[in-house]
Amino acid sequence: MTPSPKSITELLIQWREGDETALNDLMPLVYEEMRRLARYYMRRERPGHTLQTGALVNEAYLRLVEHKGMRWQNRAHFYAVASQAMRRILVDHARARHYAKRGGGGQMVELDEAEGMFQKQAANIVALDDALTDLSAIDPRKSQIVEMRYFGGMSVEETATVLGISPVTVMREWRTAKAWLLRAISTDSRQKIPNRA
Amino acid sequence: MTPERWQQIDELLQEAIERPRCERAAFLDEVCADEASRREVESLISFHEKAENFLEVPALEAAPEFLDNQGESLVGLAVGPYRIERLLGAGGMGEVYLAEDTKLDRRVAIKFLPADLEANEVAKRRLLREAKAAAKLDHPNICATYEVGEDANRSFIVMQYVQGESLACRIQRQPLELRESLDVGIQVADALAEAHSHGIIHRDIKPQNIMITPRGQVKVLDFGLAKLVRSTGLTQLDAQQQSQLSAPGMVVGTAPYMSPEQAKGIESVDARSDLFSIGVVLYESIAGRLPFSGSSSIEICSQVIHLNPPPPSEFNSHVPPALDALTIKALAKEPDARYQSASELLEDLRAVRLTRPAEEQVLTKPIPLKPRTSSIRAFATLSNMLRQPRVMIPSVIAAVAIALILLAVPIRLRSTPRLPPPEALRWYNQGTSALRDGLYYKASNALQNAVDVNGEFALAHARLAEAMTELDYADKASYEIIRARSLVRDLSVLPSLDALYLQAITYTASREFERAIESYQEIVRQTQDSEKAYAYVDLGIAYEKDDQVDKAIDSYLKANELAPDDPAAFLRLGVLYSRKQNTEAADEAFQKAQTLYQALSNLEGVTEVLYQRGVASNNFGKLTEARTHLQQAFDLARDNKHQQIRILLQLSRAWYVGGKTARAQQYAADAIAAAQASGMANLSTQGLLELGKILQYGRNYDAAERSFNQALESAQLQNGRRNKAMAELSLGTLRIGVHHDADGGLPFIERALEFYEPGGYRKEVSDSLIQLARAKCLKGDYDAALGAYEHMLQVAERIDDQSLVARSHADIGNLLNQQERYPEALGHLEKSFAIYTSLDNHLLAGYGLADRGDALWRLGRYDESLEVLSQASAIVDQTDSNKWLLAKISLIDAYIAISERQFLEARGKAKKALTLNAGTEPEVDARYTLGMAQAFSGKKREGRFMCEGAVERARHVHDPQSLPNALLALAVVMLEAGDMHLALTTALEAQGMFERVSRPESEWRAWLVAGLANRHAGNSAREREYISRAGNLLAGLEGRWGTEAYNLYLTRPDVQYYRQLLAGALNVNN
Repeated sequence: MTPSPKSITELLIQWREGDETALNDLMPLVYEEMRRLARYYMRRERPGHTLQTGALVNEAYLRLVEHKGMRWQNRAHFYAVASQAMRRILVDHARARHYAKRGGGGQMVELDEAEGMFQKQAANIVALDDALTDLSAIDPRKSQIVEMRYFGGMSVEETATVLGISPVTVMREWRTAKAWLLRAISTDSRQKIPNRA
Repeated sequence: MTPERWQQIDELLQEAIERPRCERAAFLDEVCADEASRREVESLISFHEKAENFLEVPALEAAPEFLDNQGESLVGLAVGPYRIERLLGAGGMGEVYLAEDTKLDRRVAIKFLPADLEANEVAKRRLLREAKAAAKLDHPNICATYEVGEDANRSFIVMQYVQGESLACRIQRQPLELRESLDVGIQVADALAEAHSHGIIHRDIKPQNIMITPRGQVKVLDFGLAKLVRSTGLTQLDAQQQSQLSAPGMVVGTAPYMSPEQAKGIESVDARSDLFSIGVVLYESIAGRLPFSGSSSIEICSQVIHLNPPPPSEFNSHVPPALDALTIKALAKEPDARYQSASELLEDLRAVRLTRPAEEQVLTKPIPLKPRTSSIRAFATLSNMLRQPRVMIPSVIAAVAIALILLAVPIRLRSTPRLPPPEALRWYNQGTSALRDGLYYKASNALQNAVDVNGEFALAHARLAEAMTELDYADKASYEIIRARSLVRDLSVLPSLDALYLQAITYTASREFERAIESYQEIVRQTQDSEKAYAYVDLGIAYEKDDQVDKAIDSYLKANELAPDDPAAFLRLGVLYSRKQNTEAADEAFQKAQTLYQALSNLEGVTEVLYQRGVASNNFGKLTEARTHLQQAFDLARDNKHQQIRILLQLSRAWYVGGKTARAQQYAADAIAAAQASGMANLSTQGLLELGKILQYGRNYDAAERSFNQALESAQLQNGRRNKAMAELSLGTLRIGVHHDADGGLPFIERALEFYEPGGYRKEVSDSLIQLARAKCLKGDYDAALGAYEHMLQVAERIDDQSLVARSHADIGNLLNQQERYPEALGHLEKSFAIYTSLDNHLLAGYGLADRGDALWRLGRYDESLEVLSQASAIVDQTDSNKWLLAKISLIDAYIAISERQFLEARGKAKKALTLNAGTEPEVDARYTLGMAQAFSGKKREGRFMCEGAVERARHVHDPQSLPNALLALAVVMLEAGDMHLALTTALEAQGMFERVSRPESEWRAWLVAGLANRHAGNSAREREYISRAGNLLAGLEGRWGTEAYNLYLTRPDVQYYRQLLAGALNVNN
C-alpha cells in the first residue's frame, strides 16, 4: 500500500511549519518507501556501478511527494526525513544481523570472506549509530549534519538549506563532527567504518 | 562532556584545523585555558587528520550489502522443531532454507515468506490458504508440502527436500535426449492432471520449478505458490534466474513460460494456462531453444501474445511430426484451441513415446539460429527505447503502460493489409513531407489524422512514432510503435517496399540509426524517380541523426539531382553546411530552399528555413543576423503556435548570448506562457530550460536552479526523456560550474549521461564529460580532469565538430592556466582561438584571447599580452559590447598594472573591473586587486578592508581558485601595513591551498610573505625555513616552464621586487 503523495506532502508541510508530531507520522511512510526503493536499486544496480544515495532519495521524493506547487524548501525537508529513515533502515539491518548471529546458540556457521566483512561492517554501523546518538546529546546540529550527509547522501548545500545555515558552516561542523565520531568509535571498537576511499 | 564545554572545544578545534599544521601548536599555546582542553583539542586534531575520507562516501554506497536480503540470514536458528542449516536459495524478498526436522529426523526445505507480504494481511491469508490446499496433494511427481506455519513474526511453508537438479540446470548442463524430454513432459503432465483434478492450478510451470532426482524422477515444486512467485520472483532454486527477466511491477515472474492470457495480465486463468506453460517447457527441451525470447519481459510478453513460433523440428530434425503437432497445439494462443486437460496431453505424450524406439539416442542439437525475423527486432528496438537505467520509476510505469496497451490492441488473426482509404493516404503524405521539412508538430497532427481515419494504417502509426520521438513524447512514441507492430505481425505479408519502410521508420523512431540507414539504403535501391528522391532525403536524415554529416550531405545532394524542385533536401543541406561552418554554401542552400517553399506557397516551410538560419547564426555568434532571421520567421509563423514558440525560444537565446538578459527573459517567459496556453507541455519544459540558462547567464543562480528544477519535474511528469536529461545536465552544470559543488552535481551529470550515451547524443555526451572534468578539478584531481578534457578533444575530433574541438582546447588551456602551467596553456589557447576565428565565432575567440593575454603577462610577455587584449577589446565592440568579455579584459588590465607596480593606474583599472564584475564570480578577483592597488598607493586602510572583503566573499562562494589569491593579496597588504601576525597566518593559509593544487608560482610568494612576517615577529628559525622554501620553489619554475619562459618571468617588475625581498632575507640569514 503506497500512501498518497498528498498525505505525505501535507505532513511534510506541517513539519516544516513546526509541527513535530507530523514527523512521527511521516517517518514510517518514508521508511517503508526508502527501504523498498533501496532494495530495488540494489538488485538492479549494474556491476561496477556505484549506487547513488542522492539519486535514491530523489526517487523517493518524486514518488511520495506531490509536485504541484512544491517548493524547494519542502524538497530539502523531505531529504532530511529521508536521511533519518535511511539511517534507521541501515542500523535496523545491522542490529538484526547482530541479533540473528547471537541467537545461533553455538551452531557453527561457516562464514565466507564477504560474510566476515559484512559482520564487521554491521558492527561498525551500530557503533556509529551509538556515537551519533551520543553526539546529538551535546551537539544536535552536528549529529543532524552527519545524518544528512552520510546516511542521506545530501550535498553540503542541501544540508545547509535544510538547517538554514551557510554551506561554509556546514563544512566546518562536518569536519569536526567527523573527528569527534571517528574518535568515539575508534576508542569503542577499534574498527574502521566501511569506507571506500 | 557538557554541551557548553564541547562548544568551547569545538570552536578551538575549528580554528586550529583551519591553520597550517606548523602553526597549530603556537595557536593552542595561546588560546587554551587549561591543559585538559588542550589535550582534548589535540586529540581531536589527530582524529581530524585521519578522518579525511571517513564518512565521505554515503553509507549505502560504501556498504550496499546492508540491504542484501542475506543480511537477515536465519541460519543457525530454530523454528519450531526445525533447525535451519543453510540457505538453498534467496531472491526477491524471501529465502528458502534447508533445515533439519529434529522430531522426525529428516531434511526439509523451509520457505519463509517475504517480509513485504507479512505486512499485507489479505494477500498473506490468501496465499497461505492456497498453500494449505496444495498441501493436500499426494502424488509421486509433486513435491509434498508438510506444514504451513507461522512463528512469532514470519510465515513459512515446510516442504519435502528434493535432492537432484532442476530441469533448468539439466538443460544448461547438457541437451536432453528426445526420450528424456518426453519422460519429463509425461511426469509433469501427470502431476498437473492430479493437481487440476483438485482444482489447483500451478500458474508458474517452468524448468526452475521442475526437479529431477538422480533416479530420473520428476518433482514439480511450488504448487499453490505462484502468486508468491509472481509478486516476488522467489523460487526454491535458482533465485538468480529471475533476474534475467524481472521487470518489477509487472505480473511476470517468468515471462517466457507464461501463457498469453497471463501475459495480458488476466488474473483468473484456468488450468489450460498451465498446459501452455508445459508446452513451452517441452518446446525448450526438444528444440533446444525458447519459443519466445527477448531482452526484456515486455518484448517476451509481446511475443507470447503475438508470435507463432516455428515447429520444433526446424531446430531439431529428429522431432517427429506428431511431436511437432503436439507442441504447437499446446502453444495455441487461444485456450480453446489447446489441449483441454492435462490427461488429454498426457495421452498424446505417451502415444508419441510409444512410437519412438527406446534405444534411439537422439540429442537435441540446436542448429545455428536463422537471422532473427524483423518483427522480433522491432520489439527489441522498442525495449531499448523503454530501457532507462537507474531511474526506474518512469520505466516501470512505461512497462505497465505497455502491458496495458498490449491488451488494448485488438489481436487480428490474419493481417492482410488493405490499401488505406484516400483520405488517410493524403494525411499520411502530408505528415511524411512535414517530417522531411522538420515540421514535427505539423507532422504529428497530420499523422494523427491519418490514423484516426484508418486505425489499421501501420505505416502512419510508425511515422507518428517518429514525429513523437522528435517531440520528446516517449510514451506516445512507444505506443505508436507497438500499434504499428501489432498491426503487422508478419512483415512478409506487406509489399516489400512497405515492409522496408516500416522497418526503417521504426528504427528511426527508436534512434537505431545504423539499422535505419541500412533499410533506407535498400529502399533507395528499390525505388525510382521522385520516390527515390524522398528515400534519399529520409536516408540523409538518418545519416544526419547518426552524426555522419558528409554522408548525409551526399544523400541530400542526390535527392536534389533527382528532384531539383523539392525544398526539403535544400533546407537540410543549409543546416548541415552551417554545421560544417561552410557559411557560403549554407546561405546558398537556405536561399534555394526558401525560394522553393515560396513557390509552393508553403508558408511553414519558409518559416522553418528562416528559423534554421536563425539557429545557425546563433551558433556562429552572429547575433544581430540571428535576430533578423528569427524576427522574420516569427512574423510569418502567425498561424503555427508550435513554430512561434520555438522561434521565441531561439530569439531569447539570441539576446542572452549577447548579454541582454532582461529581454531574453521576456522572450522565454512569453514562450512558456504560450506553450502552456496551447497545452504543449514539452515545449513549456524546453522554455523552462531556456529560461534557466538565461538566468544562469545573468548570474541569477537561485532563480536558474528553480527553473531547472521545475523543468526536471515537468519533464518527469511528461516522461520527456530528452528534456529530463537536459534538465539534469543543466542542474549538474550549475552545481559544478557555479557552486563548485562537485558532489551535488555529479549525480545529475551521471544520470544525464545514462540517457545520452546509449542514445548516441554525442554533443550532449561531450557537454556532460566537460562537467565531469570540472567536478574532478574541484576535487583537486587535475590529472583526471585533464584526462577527461583530452578525451573530449578526441571525441570532438572524431565527430569533426570544430566548435567542440575549439572548446576542448579552451578548457584544457584554462585548466593549465589554473595550474600555472602557462607555457603549455598558451598552445591550447592559440589553437582554440584559431578555430573559433575560422568559425567566425568572435565572442568565444575573444574569450580565448583574454585567457591568452592573462597567461602572457604572467610570463612577463607584456607587449604580446597587451596586443592580444586590444584584439579582444575590438571583439567587444563587434559583439554588441558584450559585458562579460569586457569585464574579463578590464580585470586582466588591472592585474597587469599591479604586476608593473603602477599602483595609481592599477587603482583606476581595478575600480573599473570591480564595477563591471560586480555581483559575479570574478568580483573577488577585482576586489583584492583593487585592495592591493589601494594599499600600495597610500590607502592602506581601504586596501586592507577591500582585501578582507574579497577573502570573505571567496570563502562564502567556495571559490577554490580565487580564495588563495585573495588570501595572498591580504597577506601582502598586511605585511605592508605591519600587521605581522595576520600576514603570517593568512600567507600560510594561502600557501597550503596553493600547495594542494600545485601552484608553485603563487606558492613561492606565499612562503616569502610568511617568511618576512616571521622576521618581523622575531622568529628567525621559521623565517629561514620559509625563505628557503620560497627560493626553492622559485628556482623550480625553470624546470616547469623551461629556461626561456622562466627568464622572461624574472623580468616582471613585481617578480623583481619580490626577488629583492627574497635576496635581502637570504642575506640577512647568511
